[in-house]
Amino acid sequence: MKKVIKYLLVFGLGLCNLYGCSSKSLLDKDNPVTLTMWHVYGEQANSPMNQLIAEFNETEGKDKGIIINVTKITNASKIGSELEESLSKEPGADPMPDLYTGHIHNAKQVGLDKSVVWNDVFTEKEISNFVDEFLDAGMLEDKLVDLPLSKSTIVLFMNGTQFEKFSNDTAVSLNDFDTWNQTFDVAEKYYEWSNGKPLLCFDYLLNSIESYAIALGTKNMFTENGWYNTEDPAFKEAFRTFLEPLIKGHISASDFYSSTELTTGETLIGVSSSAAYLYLNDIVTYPDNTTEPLNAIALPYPKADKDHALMTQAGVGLCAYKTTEQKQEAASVFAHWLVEPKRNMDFVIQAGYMPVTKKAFKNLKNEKFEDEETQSLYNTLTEMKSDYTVISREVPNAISRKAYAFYDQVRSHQQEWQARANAGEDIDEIVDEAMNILKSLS
Amino acid sequence: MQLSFKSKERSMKRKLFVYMFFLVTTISITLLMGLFLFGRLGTTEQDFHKKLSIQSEYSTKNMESYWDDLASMNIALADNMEAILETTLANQGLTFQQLQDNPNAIYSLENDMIQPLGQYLERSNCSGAYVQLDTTINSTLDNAQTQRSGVYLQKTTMSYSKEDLILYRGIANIGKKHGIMPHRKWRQEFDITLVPDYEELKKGNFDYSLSNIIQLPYTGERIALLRVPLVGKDGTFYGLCGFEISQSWFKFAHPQPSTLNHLTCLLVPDSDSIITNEGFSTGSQNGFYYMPNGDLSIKPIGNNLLRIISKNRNYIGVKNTVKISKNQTYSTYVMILDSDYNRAIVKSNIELFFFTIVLLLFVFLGCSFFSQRYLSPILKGLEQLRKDNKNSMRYDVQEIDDLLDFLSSKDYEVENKMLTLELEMQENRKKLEQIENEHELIQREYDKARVEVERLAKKREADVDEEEYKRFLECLATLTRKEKEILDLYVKGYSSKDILETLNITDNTLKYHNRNIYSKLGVKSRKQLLMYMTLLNNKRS
Repeated sequence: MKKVIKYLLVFGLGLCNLYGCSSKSLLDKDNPVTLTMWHVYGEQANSPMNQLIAEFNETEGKDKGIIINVTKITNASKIGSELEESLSKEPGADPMPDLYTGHIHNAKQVGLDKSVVWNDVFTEKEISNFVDEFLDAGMLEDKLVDLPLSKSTIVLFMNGTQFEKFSNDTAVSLNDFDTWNQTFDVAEKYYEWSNGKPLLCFDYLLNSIESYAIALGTKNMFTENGWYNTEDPAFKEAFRTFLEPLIKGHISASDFYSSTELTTGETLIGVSSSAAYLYLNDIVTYPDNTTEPLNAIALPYPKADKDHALMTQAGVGLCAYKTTEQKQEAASVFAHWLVEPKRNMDFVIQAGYMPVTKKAFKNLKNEKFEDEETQSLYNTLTEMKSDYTVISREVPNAISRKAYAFYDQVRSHQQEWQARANAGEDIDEIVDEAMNILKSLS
Repeated sequence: MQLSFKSKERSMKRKLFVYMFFLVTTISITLLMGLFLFGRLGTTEQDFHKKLSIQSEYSTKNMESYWDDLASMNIALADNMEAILETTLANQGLTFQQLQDNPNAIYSLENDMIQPLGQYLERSNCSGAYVQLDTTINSTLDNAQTQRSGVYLQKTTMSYSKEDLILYRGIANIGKKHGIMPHRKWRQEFDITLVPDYEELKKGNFDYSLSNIIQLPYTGERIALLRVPLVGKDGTFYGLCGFEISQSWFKFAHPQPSTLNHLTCLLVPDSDSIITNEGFSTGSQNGFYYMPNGDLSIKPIGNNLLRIISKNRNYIGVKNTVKISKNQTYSTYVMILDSDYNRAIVKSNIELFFFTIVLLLFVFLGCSFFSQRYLSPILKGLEQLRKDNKNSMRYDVQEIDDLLDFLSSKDYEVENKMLTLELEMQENRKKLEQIENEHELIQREYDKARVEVERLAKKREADVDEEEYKRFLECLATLTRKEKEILDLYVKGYSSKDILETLNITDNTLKYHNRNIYSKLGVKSRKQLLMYMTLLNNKRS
């Protein structure tokens, strides 16, 4: 009897073992783990990230037992507040995603203890393949939590069709946008040529003022709470440089994204993130319903002067919310797959970003692009990467909200300011008035 | 004699075990078969059909009510838009036809419409709302035939609580004025080439209809439009208004609360096959579903289930129908991955196998335990019997106690019998001794008599005539068989009377034989005859 029982037990244990009691990986091809994801690539457009994720789900994910389920496509300015709502479990808020694309301050609000540290799942050699300054932007307490996926910088997107007409009439060339002073001179000409349209429409006017102030050698541009120090001489000078053409109507602050002002023909140039490339419309439509092709031309960000070529660096990275070991392993597989140089290159080109690996950057020079618009953008990005100095600043949500409040104020006052300037009022006084608005937001 | 119960014990135990095992197994199998026959237990396939059918019922009712509600809202929207249109035209003293090439009038009209349209959109379970007017701002343009004015708003977030609206079609400044930013792929007017049946719709002879699904240009979104005609009191076709349902919204609005893995639900025009681009899909509320691509074929596989075959993966599902408008019937397919289905069947079979093994093991161990327990009083009893101590034993098992009582009574009877036999034996032994003593006395008498006989015989031999005795011996052989018989009887001491009775002969016959015997043997009397015979016997012995 004992023997029979012993054999039955051995048989049972053997079957149990065959049935999969032990496995090295926590992933199971037959029972895939699902990772929810929020990202910011392609809201209101055909998302290249969604295409990549669909490819992953059908290939690597299928083989390894991982499903990436995109539950929200949002934008970089909203994702912070949405994460906040989910973290604080506000009524009606979505549950925290397993993966999200965000800035380092988004990872900070989630917390290091609740974030997957990519150093734990990438080897040092793998991490060394990334562009160093992109890695620095993803560090939280010396831990990489915001894995670089794509980086953008601010560039000028120009309505090529309209510029050709303007250029033919005024002899202004693309070389006349090298510095801000040159650009504002062109803005004055365009304002007259177009019967009062602004040449430039800024998405992030304060970022441009900020980088100009850095070029002027600012020492004390920010207050303790991160807002602007309106007493700083360099900042004051930079502020005046940009506000003067704005008060005159030569430039404007966008309603939300300057790509809108480009497509409605309200401006000639949008000053925006290179990532806006994905969202550019193919035509410009005027109020009488006539249309023309946009023929977008990308131009490098103007310099403060010839010796100060500064470029901002932005762009979200991939962050993973720490939950289970299995999900961490799945996130690691997905992240490795996503940043493979060839795949990363294909992705960033579709979305108008810079690649994040050294190898992909090296290959950028030899890359053949499908159309002139893309070629123009990547010529510009390559030139800037080679000639410009990168500056980056972490902008918490609270500061972003203040900046948007300032832009709202600027837009609501602009026509009035312009009228007063045209009526002969001292522009410096109006600039001071604008500065007071900025100060009031601190 | 030592009793051995070992072999019998094993045999009984094994028999009991086998009977119990057989009984329990038979009962279990009968029970399972009964449950199966009465539908209490089903196959995995039946289970899947049941779950999918329930899900399909839920999904179908949910969708029917969804489209009914949206159509009702759409009709109300159309009434509202018609009223705004006619009021604005009346205020401006224009006819509908005079809107064409009149940017200011169109601006004014869109400005009046955008806010109520936005309110309808916010109240409705859909992704967009539009009012498209059968007119254009600029009829001189080359593409004017395909351009139509109007307002088209979309929601940017999948939420009922805090919609952000964007302007997909319409005058940008009107949108901005109302805080509604233009879509990144904005156009000022509608392109009716995206509505292939526009000319048919212009007849305005329908309550509402759902358009085919189209790819929204320059976006990753597929949409369908619910359409209600805007027709003036005089029968003028003003345009269309309605709601947009995007694939994303459809998925958001119809989450499938199900425990089935990767549940996929399709809503497609009713047909023998499925063209996924013509339909919407949704899936599990808290999971991921695999959206099928391309054209799918359908094959029944029994148990009222269908196999839905696509290029990259297959599904198992059930079909239902949804009536969307008077003339539009759609099909819903609620399905799961073929691989998940097969895996569930394999898993179910493995579980059944393990369950059977565990059940058999349990039955085996149970039978073994209970047969052991059942036989233990008997084994103990037998052990006690071996020790001859049955009177002191009592068990709470009636049959065993009765058996022990019975055995005790039998023992008592046997003991009594043994005692009686013992006494009888002693008595017989005494009798035997007495008989032996008597026999010894008789033997002694016999020996004494024999000695006397021998002495007398020797004495008589001396009286016997040698010649006569010799003749007597020689003539014995001449006697007949009857004469010898009679002679022997005389020698044994029989009297003539005894011989007559013994041989059943007459006296004369005896006399006749006596004469022959005497004459043949040469004797003159019986005394002489007997003396010669005695001599003969003595010599022979």
